[in-house]
Parts: sequence; structure tokens; C-alpha cells
Amino acid sequence: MSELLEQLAVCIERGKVNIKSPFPPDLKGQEGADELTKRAIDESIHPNDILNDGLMIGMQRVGDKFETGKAFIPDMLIAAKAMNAAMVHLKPFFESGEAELKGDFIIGTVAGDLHDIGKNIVKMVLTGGGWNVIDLGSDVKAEKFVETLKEYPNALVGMSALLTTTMMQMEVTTKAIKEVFPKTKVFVGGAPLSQEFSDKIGADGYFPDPNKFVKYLATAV
Amino acid sequence: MQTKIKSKTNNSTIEYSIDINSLKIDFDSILLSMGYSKENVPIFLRSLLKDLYAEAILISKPKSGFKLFPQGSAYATNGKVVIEDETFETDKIISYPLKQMNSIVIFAGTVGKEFDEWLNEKKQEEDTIQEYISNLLGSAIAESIAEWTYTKIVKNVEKDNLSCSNSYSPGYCGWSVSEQHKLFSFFPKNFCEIKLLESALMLPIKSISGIVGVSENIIKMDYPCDVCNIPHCYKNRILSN
Repeated sequence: MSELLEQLAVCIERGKVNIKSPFPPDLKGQEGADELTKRAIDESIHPNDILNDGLMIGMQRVGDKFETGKAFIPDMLIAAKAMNAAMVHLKPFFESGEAELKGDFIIGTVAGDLHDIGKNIVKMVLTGGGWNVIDLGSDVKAEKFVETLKEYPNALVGMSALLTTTMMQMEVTTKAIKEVFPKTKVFVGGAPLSQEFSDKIGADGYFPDPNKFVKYLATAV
Repeated sequence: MQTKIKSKTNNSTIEYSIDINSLKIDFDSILLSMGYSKENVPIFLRSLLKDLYAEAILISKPKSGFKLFPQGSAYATNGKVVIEDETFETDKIISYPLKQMNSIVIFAGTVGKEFDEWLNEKKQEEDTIQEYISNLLGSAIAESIAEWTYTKIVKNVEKDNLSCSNSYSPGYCGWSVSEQHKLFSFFPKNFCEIKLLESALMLPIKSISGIVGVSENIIKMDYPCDVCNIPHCYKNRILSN
């Protein structure tokens, strides 16, 4: 890995967004993910290499810390924020097809439920993990998921619920999706859920935290 | 400081407008709930929490209230709590410690719709860290409103030489959140300006509700987290920290 890409990985891992960001204090005044990504492009490093050998390495490192209890949700979020600042520069290459994102991911909180902080955290971490996330918001009916899949037929789907009353909507939505798109992978998350529940409703997996989910997607899909 | 608004239906129902400065918000608990230890909390998180709290207290208009039922109007038995002609399927975790009650208090409270609007503004800014911390702050304020209200309930019943059990809420200790509808049927309409959706979700979203058993000899105990199977419950989280 080039020194520049290693610096970039450190910025993502530590959540150094740009030169103006005061956090982390020991990197104050230094260039962040924003400036270093631009510099990498100017130095003709291929966008795929910037993504895979710089940005993703940083996200993996903070993810590993999260799994071992050395980093927490805010650390993941600030790393993802730095990642997003870098992705702004890479976006034109993804749009032109010169570089590739991991794929499309449709996400939403199910009908009847307005809790969306968990869903928003997963969205942020997925985006940081190189996915194009289509966020349907909260209180999303089954039909809306199906309708969006027609536009993004190869997308994966993630649903969130926080209430025992609304988690039942996940079964309705999963059935509606699988009826039209039987091969589409549907994942569920939320405080009252479990793998057992996911199996029962015919979903393809339950993940208790965003890092485990992103890691799973990186290897299994 | 607080303002007693008025009795909405009869003498048993009281509604308060709460001065947010009178609520105890423990910043350390909020930070610890994220997983940090006191030693390793990033400085920026602590200051972000303080800044957001300073914003929140300017706009929040918390309310709470309760309804005290007369002696003999409630009892608990074998996984059920009965109030007048309504039966709540609460699970034994709740009905057992309430066995000695002979009356009950139901309560509700909210951080207020202004806080929800502020939270939505944070979402629009698409700064997920701020949104996350604001959310935790809202939950901490709601929890503090529950404690504030509990203290009011205890003082109220102490006048008649009665004591209180712990408080219990739909969605916890094996009590289905769907029974929130039965609970709210006892409150006057628009009580504390809280609305209930079909899913039993309270709006404003940072709201609390529950019951407290009352009798001459009922006691407040430690929460029975060792027998409850809800891993995401905030009481469990506090104990495990």
C-alpha cells in the first residue's frame, strides 16, 4: 500500500474528516480524508484502489476495534463520516462506471414504526462500507419496498423495527418481496429481534450490529 | 419548579408542566451507555453532548401526569393486573410484586413535541453522530421525567400513609407494548398531549408510561433483571454498566 493510501486509511479509522476538523485532537491541522482522497485522484491512483486499499482498510480497522470493544457506535459513525467526505470525490468515477461500488442496498423502517436512528446508523456504516444505499425512511409499507426493488432489481433489502407490534410487519414485507423477487436477500435488524425471528418470517438473516452486517456482506454476498 | 396544570377529569388525575432544569440528567450515564468507560470518553463527545443539551433545554417543554385509582379498584394475580373492568396480561414478573396492592397509579410523560421537532431538524442535517447523541439525550430526559413523576406519585400517596411499588411499563418485563392502548383508555383525551399510534407507539416519540402499585405495605424492590429476557431493556443496560 502506498504511503498516501495508508494515511487515508488512518484518517478513516480515526475519523479525520478534513483539515478543519478538530477531531481527533492529535491530528488537528492535518489533512483529512477529504483532502487526501483528492490528492490520491490527482496522483492518478485508481479509484478502486483508493476505495479498497485506503478507505475500506480504515473502515475494517475501526470495525475490528468495534467488535473487540475498543470502539463504539460514535467511533463507527465518525469513521463513516470521514468515508463519506472521501466518497464525494469518488462519486463521478462510480457514476461513469470507471470504479465500482459493492452494490445497491434498499433500507427502511417498517410500516407503523417511526424509530429510525438504528436504521440511520446502519445506513451510514453501509455507505462507509462501499454500498449505494437507497433510504426509504421510516413507516415504510411493503409495497414501497417492492416498488423500489423494481427500480433496483439486484438490490439487497434491510428492514428495521423497534417495537414488538411493528416487527410483525417484517413478515408481511418479506413475503411481499419474496413473492415478486424470490431471489432477493432480505435482512432484518432491531432491538427486539433475533435470528430465530428472522428464520420464522423467512428473512435471510438478522444482525445485532452494523459492523457484523457489513462484514457478512463483504464475504457472503 | 413545576406547574400543576389542572385536574383534567376529576381529583384523581393530575397533569404537570415540568421545568426541564429540575430534571436530573446524568451525562456520564449517557456516555457510559454508548460503551465507553469514564476514562476513555472522547473529549469531543462529551462537549457535543453538553452543546446538544444546551440546545435541548431551550426548546423542550416536558409534561407528565398520573391518575390515582381508589382503594379496591385494582389487583394483581397470576400474570395479570386488573384495573376496574380492564385486564392487563403483564406476565408474572410484574404481577407477582404487585400482589399486595389494592390500588394503582397509571402515569405518562413526554419530553414534548418541540423536542421531536428539534430531533427531526438534526435528522435533516444528516449528521448521524449528532442525531445519535440527541436521541440518547431524549431517552435520558424521558427517563428522568419518569423518575420525577414517580417521586410525585410517592409523595401523593404518602399523605394517606400508603407506599408504592416499582413502576412497570408496557414493552418491558414481559408486558406487551400493545397493551398501551388499554392503559391510555383510562387517561383523559390528549393527556399530556401524547398520541398513541395503532402500533402502540407514543407520539411525541420520547414519551413514557406505566403503572405503580399502591398499598399500606407494598415495597419498592430491585428490578428483577435476572429473570427478564429482554436484552435491550435500558434497566439491564444500566445494571450491566
